[in-house]
Amino acid sequence: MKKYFMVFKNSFAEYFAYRLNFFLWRIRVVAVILISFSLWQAIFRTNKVIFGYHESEIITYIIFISVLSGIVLATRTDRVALEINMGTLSNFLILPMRYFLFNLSRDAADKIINTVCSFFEIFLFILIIHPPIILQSNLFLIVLFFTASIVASLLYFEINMLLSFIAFWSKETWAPRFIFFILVNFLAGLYFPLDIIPGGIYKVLELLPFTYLIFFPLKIYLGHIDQTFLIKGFMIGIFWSILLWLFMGYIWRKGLKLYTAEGK
Amino acid sequence: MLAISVLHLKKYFKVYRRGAGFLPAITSLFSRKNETVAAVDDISFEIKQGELVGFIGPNGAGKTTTLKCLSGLLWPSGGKIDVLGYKPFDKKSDFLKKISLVMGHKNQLWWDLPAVETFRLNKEIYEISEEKYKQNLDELTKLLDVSEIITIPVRQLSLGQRMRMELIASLIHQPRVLFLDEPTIGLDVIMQKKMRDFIAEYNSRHNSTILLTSHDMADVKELCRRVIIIDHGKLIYDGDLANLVEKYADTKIITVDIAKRVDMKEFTRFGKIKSAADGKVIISVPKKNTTSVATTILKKYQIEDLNIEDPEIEDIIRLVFDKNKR
Repeated sequence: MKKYFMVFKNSFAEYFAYRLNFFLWRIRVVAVILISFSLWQAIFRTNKVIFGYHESEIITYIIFISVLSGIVLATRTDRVALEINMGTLSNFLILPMRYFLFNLSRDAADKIINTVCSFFEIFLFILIIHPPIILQSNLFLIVLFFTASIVASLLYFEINMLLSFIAFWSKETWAPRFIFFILVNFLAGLYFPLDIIPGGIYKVLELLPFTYLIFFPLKIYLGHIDQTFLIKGFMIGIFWSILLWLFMGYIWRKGLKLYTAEGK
Repeated sequence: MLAISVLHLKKYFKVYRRGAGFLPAITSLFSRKNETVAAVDDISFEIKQGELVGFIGPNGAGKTTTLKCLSGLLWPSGGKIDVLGYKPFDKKSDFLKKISLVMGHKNQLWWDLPAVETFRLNKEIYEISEEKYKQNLDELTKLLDVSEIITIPVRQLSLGQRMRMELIASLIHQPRVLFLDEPTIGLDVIMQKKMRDFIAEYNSRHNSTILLTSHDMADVKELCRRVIIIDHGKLIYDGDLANLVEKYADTKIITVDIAKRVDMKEFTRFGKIKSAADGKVIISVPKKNTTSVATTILKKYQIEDLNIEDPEIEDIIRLVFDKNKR
């Protein structure tokens, strides 16, 4: 396992070679949240409760997306497509190392840096803007929130890897990824809590893996839950993560047979 | 003991073709012509443990593709490969710990970190003991003369320095089989020499099997007794470099230093003049006439020096490829 720890350590060190890039990326995350924040504040000016959510709940939801963008959405797996197309994947294939674990270690560095930053940003946010934010004190809910976030990270990793594997079949991976993520961001609940959508559609969304990326963990944090919701949610989330893991392995093995190790 | 055995190896690629210009670009959106190209087309050979073999051929001959099949990167379209008793494509951990592939322009070094960080990472990946790591690193940095620069970020190194770091990263686990793809490409003459000395030294020290591809015949001439030549994916020669000369060279090169000024044109009757200047003439003579031509020249002219040699290896290889084309 020590090898994966070294990958993590090197990825971490590498991050600080491009400090400005990183800083600007965080500004982008904060800007998106600020936009959502002001939009929802305007809506709540005339209503006390919308779609069953109080102002503080929606604001907490929006602000905590920053934390989840660190734990769940921070990833470097988009590099994989490039590595396949450029042939640099060969550098990893030649090493006695499990490629998926290697990528998870590389991602871990990314996630830790982004998450730590997000906590710092939320702290500043509270200090400067004083938003009506809910700070959860129920330890059980906090533990469940982090557990759900870890399942979400795994799901997001698998979805990303599968999208990158398109590179084995086609040189054009950017467009499918771009379109897919616009859809995923919507279906994951990045713009609003999913249960404000009409019942029939929400019932379908509940069966898809995307719901468990953002909406499910945040819903747990807000404490808006009952036992059925929790059990059902974890079961569907874990089911998808196992299924996608197996599928990812299958596509990887298929893709490797087509891999051309080009670029030289 | 056999280290590598390749039997009827084939590797086919599907390639898309499209004409140049705007219209073909648009039509290619709807229909694309593809064809299958045989990069490696039924080649077989065996290499013993400790051998250093040169693998040569023009661009696109299939050299690199073969190396990639041997190291497990590519799935062969047909045939059997055995390297140290393993099927390379399975990428078994034990197999990968015993081999290494170095490609001239690829890099596994972490670009923004000092090379020593990649070496440390590889130490863990290959599960080498601290003691063994220190010993190998020490040996390699000394042999390659780079002890001073392993702590400088890779992006600040020159190509020659980086190439040496790549070699260290690839050899830190002391592989038993080493695939070197164009190890001297892009290097200056001094660095090329250093690299060659290193490869020879490494091979004899560790009895490791080395298969080396190169455009530069100087690499092959200096390092390899045995060569395998491929062209258009097919094997056209496998044997001693010396025998290659014997088999294909139908001429000898006679170099004459003349004491007295004579009309160089006179020498055209002996063979083809390759160069003539400052009282020195180099002629290419059919092999069977060599003795008689030399005798005649010695008798007829006042000679300071006369040399008979085999043609340059480059010329012979060119001849081999030309014959193969016909």
